[in-house]
Amino acid sequence: MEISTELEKRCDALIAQYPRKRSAAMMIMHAIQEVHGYFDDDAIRYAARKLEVEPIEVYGMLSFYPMYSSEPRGRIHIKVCRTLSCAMLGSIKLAHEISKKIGCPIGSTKGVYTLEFVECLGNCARGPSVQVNDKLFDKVAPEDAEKFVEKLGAMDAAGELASQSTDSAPAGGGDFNSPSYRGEVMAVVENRIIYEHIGLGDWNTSIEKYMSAGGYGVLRDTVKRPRQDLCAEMEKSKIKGRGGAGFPTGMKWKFLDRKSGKPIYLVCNADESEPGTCKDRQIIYEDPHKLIEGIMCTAYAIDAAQAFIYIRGEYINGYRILVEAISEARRMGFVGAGVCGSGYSCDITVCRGAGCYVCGEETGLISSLAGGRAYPRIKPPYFPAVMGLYDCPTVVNNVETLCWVPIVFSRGGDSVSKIGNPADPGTHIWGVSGLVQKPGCYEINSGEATLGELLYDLCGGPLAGRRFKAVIPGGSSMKILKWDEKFILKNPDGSSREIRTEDIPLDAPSFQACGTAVGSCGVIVMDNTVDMVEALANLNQFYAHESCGQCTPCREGTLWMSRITRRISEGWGREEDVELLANIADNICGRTICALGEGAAWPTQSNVGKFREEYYEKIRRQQTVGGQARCDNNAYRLI
Amino acid sequence: MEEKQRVNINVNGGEYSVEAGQNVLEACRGIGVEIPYFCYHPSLKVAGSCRMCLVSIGMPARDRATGALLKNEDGTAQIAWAPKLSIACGTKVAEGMHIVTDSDAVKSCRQSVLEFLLLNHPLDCPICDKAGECKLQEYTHAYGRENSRYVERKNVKPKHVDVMGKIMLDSERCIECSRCIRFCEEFIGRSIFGFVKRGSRTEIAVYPGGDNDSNYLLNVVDGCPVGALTEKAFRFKMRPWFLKVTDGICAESSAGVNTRVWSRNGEIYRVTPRRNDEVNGMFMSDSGRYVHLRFNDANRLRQPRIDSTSCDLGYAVSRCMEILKLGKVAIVANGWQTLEEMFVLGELSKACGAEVYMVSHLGEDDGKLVSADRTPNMRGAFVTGLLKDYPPADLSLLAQKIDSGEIATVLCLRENLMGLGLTPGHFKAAHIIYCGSLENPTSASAKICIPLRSEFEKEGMWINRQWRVQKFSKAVDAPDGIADDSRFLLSLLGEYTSSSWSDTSVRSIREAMVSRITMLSGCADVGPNGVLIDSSSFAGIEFPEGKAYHFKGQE
Amino acid sequence: MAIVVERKRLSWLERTYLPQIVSGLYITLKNFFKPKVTLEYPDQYTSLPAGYRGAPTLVKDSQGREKCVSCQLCEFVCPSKAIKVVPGEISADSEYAYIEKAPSSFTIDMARCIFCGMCEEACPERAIVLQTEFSLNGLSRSELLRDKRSLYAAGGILPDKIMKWKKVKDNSELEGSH
Repeated sequence: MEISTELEKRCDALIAQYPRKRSAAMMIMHAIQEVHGYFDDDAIRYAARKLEVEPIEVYGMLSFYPMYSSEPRGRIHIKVCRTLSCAMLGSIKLAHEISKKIGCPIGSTKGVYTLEFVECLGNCARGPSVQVNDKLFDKVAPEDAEKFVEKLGAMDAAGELASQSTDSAPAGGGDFNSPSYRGEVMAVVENRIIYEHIGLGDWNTSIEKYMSAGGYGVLRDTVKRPRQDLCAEMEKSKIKGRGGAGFPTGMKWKFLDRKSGKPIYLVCNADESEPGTCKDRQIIYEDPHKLIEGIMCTAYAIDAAQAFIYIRGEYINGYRILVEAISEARRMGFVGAGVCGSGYSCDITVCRGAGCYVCGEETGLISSLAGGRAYPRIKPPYFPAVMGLYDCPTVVNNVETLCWVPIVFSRGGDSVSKIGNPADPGTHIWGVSGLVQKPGCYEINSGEATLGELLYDLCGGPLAGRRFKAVIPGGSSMKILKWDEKFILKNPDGSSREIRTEDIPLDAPSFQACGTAVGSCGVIVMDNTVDMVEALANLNQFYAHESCGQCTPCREGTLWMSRITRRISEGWGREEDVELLANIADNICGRTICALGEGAAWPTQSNVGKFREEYYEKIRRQQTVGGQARCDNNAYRLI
Repeated sequence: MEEKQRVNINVNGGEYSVEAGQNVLEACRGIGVEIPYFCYHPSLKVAGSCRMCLVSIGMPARDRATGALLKNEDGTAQIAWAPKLSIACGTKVAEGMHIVTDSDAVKSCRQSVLEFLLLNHPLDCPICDKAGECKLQEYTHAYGRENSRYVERKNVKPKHVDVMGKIMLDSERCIECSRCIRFCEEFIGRSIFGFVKRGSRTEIAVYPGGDNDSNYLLNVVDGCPVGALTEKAFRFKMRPWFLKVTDGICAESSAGVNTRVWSRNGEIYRVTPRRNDEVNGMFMSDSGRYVHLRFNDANRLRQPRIDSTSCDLGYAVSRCMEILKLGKVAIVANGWQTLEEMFVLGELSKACGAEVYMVSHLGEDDGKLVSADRTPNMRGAFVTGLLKDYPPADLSLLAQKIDSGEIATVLCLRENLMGLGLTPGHFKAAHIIYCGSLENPTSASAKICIPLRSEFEKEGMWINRQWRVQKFSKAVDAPDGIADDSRFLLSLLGEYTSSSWSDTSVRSIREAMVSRITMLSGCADVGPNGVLIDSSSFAGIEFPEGKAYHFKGQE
Repeated sequence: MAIVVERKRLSWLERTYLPQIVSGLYITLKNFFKPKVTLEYPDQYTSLPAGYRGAPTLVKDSQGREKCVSCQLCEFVCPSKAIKVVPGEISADSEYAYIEKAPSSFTIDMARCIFCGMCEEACPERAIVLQTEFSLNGLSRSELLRDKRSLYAAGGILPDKIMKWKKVKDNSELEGSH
């Protein structure tokens, strides 16, 4: 492989951005993948030499992250999302139709085409999503497969499909997205604090626009205030992390080891890979400066030496947008040396992921950012607050959480703690996807609307002629709720009331009381056309694919559950499989290094637990009828 | 040794006092409670990935505000149990810690972890070399399910992959404990093994054409808890349950690596390291494992010879003694002899007025377990009085003395005189008596050849570079007709001294030696870890060994 | 302690011993007319019951593959140390190369074998099976030392349906792009 001087310069520039050479691994491998197209022995050895590691470590990363390839790929690389929200709208069928039209089997390369399934692309509200090279296409219905292939052909002929270097400026035309849904802001219900600029007609991502709306004013004030005050404000606000774990942010900052003498790092977790979650995408693509201001305010408050944004590899244009926004901010003195003219300096480095869900776990992210396979680390001793990135104290926060920081600093922690339910202050951005009329992201004060109001009033209710059947409230890892389930909630005065699923208030304590959690607020809606067994098979396949493979229960258990649910979906279920599934899930829970174990086990536990009869009925029908027995009015196959 | 701090812990309801600073797994092992584990290794960093050592751990509960200890109604301390099971290998003991290893939760956890490991594990036990010493087999028998619930197809991964001609890698059997990866990174200092792919498809691999060789690679075979990494030289040779195990010391260098010698019916099948935390930890070099191959049949000196004609051993020994009586004797000793033999040799040299010559065998010191001195017992020669200074690399001095006529007889033990400065002319000028185990140019030309035992065929003690006296046991019987070294030397000595040794066993020589050499007092029974002796009287001598694993070098 | 046995006094007829002679002859005569159970061995053979433990043999599977993989469990469990196995490797160009291990030598000393069947119980491959041969002889000890070739010849084929070593496709082909 010939190493062009351009590639060499690019690699050197990337290495210079990180405190340790090895950290540049993800970005250097992306550069080689872009320029060379695939990794052969020369490419692996070049990367190993540049990063000063052994070739086996580069090969380990190459085979771990799906976006890096050891074989050449076609000029037109089609990736169809197969996770639940897109699958329910027909993406599996779409992939088969495309495969027939272009004559390329799924998962292989033929002629100029490479066609494969990928896991959740983070575009759930506008599914089915298809990514072709670095362009994202929304709402590609399976009936439109032929037209879609023709369109691709036309674009390819006109040279519009060619990937551009990620070093280049963001694609002006944007992805072939439908515009961000911004329906009628229901003033009583929606309260767009974080999303204040999303979907506005006359908004763009430039820094001038952001500053004209008053942006970076909070940062200017923040760098003049003492750090203890800022951290105290964050604690008073009681804002919980918005990435899915819901850990109070102020407390996370408090646990930081400030006495060790080691540099402190801030990492923004923009690896939005939880199926059903599509809220951070909008912030990055349409309002990046809000995130950057949040990062700089946080960096100052915790006295970080450097800040990183770890963005998932599939958000290619998002990476370009962020890099451009950061360079604009650097020009204006908001990032880099002497932030807003003060003595504090901190730069932001953007690192791309390469197709791995477990990079969303904070220690998995740290392992990946440090240059290696994204293996979560055992806690103790590797608590990020004490031994995080490069074994230095680190804070890892979600994109949405960081956007709250300037708001807390400007309004004050007490004021923010009064927004919505005081036990879970602030707003939640609910990304609704699946089988509703108007999927999209809706920002609501916590607790001030119910699930039913969200799904019926804001989202327009179920599709024509259908009824809601089940809802997964917080991204696929949370336990599923049946639509006609009843729960007992405690009132403030100590008494209890019985409510139905649609009456659950949209805040963390209520969902917890109902046996599930808000997680990342990615609501996946299923209606009466969905076969629950296939829905679970779809999710199990996701977890089996994304398990990192470090600890025994998750590594083997997820693949076992996936094989069982696939076997039932294909018509070979046995009655003992139902209890077996539940037992496997129980054996994984609580025994793993990271929360992916629980995330993989809860869907199975809750799905089998609440829809047990459906499983037995399906298996019995298979055994009498023979062969596969699907739900009769299932709209699309989910597996 | 200073007293280590101790903490009080409660294990399964019983109170114990254990050393502080260790993890729960080691502490429980010390009090006799077994906690099963795969990925933990005492000499490597904690991975915590196998999840087999999960136990219930609780600490005494304290009041959030005041920090005072809380008590139950009946006065006992209230214990705040961790909500999830914790790994025993990664948790350090603390004062008041409560540990439960036999509850239903822990038992169910172990059973499920074993079930998960066996899902995709191939049914290779009949052909796998690890059978009989396989942790997966042992734990499944003790803690596992009696039947399998898995009816799907198993994963298929590369099998019998040759790694550097030394190791056979079978990825299907691998349980992804990462011991091999950590060992190469931490002990050898380079990544040789690595994980590739993801999830349940993860495999162990080496990079083809990479810099994968090392003289310590075979330690991963000892470390691998299953049969994923097996030694190619031992492949399909013998089952471990047939093998007799004896304690040995590696003769490759003065590092004094503790070994285990596995043999059956007089044949040595393999050599593995024996744990000694003061000397070699749990590791040894690859080259040290094959030292026993030096003594294979082709090279072996089997028959006593006088002037190249075979003869009876008794006759050869008596001819020996006649020639020694003629006087002007030089003795060439060697660094492979045991302390006991050196002691008798010292007495013999005093009795017949012979000078003792020795030769140094030096090589490159690799800073780990192969030192610059490639003999295991050079220091023994100092302690038994055979040497005053560090010996030179050849015997030119002896050659001169033969030329000048000062030396008429050379009793040479094991050293190849021809390669060390003596010529065939010297062999005509003086009587050369060669006693050793291997055929070489010296034995071909010597006047008398007496076959002796190899270090695997006798017991004895050696002193390593740390001045540690360590003992090794006999592993196999010598081929018929080969002399017992100590008895041979004692019979020579018996010609000179009036006191005869009624008991010619090594033990009696050892007792005599220990009583006569004050430096070795207390070494009559050294125990498995050996005994350090006072080496201050040799402080002026420059030894060639440098800083290495568990060795600080000369101070 | 001594036990005193009571001796019955014989009646005067019994003292002539005639009744005893008659009852003895009666038993003989009774048996004279019963059907004979004697088998004229070796012209006539008895039928061996199921599970009869005759001489151990090595068997092949239904595809003609030699089943023994020289795991040496039979050698270990044999109470009289009659079995001696030397394991070996199957060469890479054999059609069974994926099984990897097969005995390079397998001998059973029939003079030592006690036909206990422990080897058959211990074998994980169902490769050593005790069949029906019970009459073994030889003119020297070495003739009774059976080697691998003769054991397989005596064994024949075991028609069992479990194809443990049959290679199956990798799961990933069934599960789509993973």
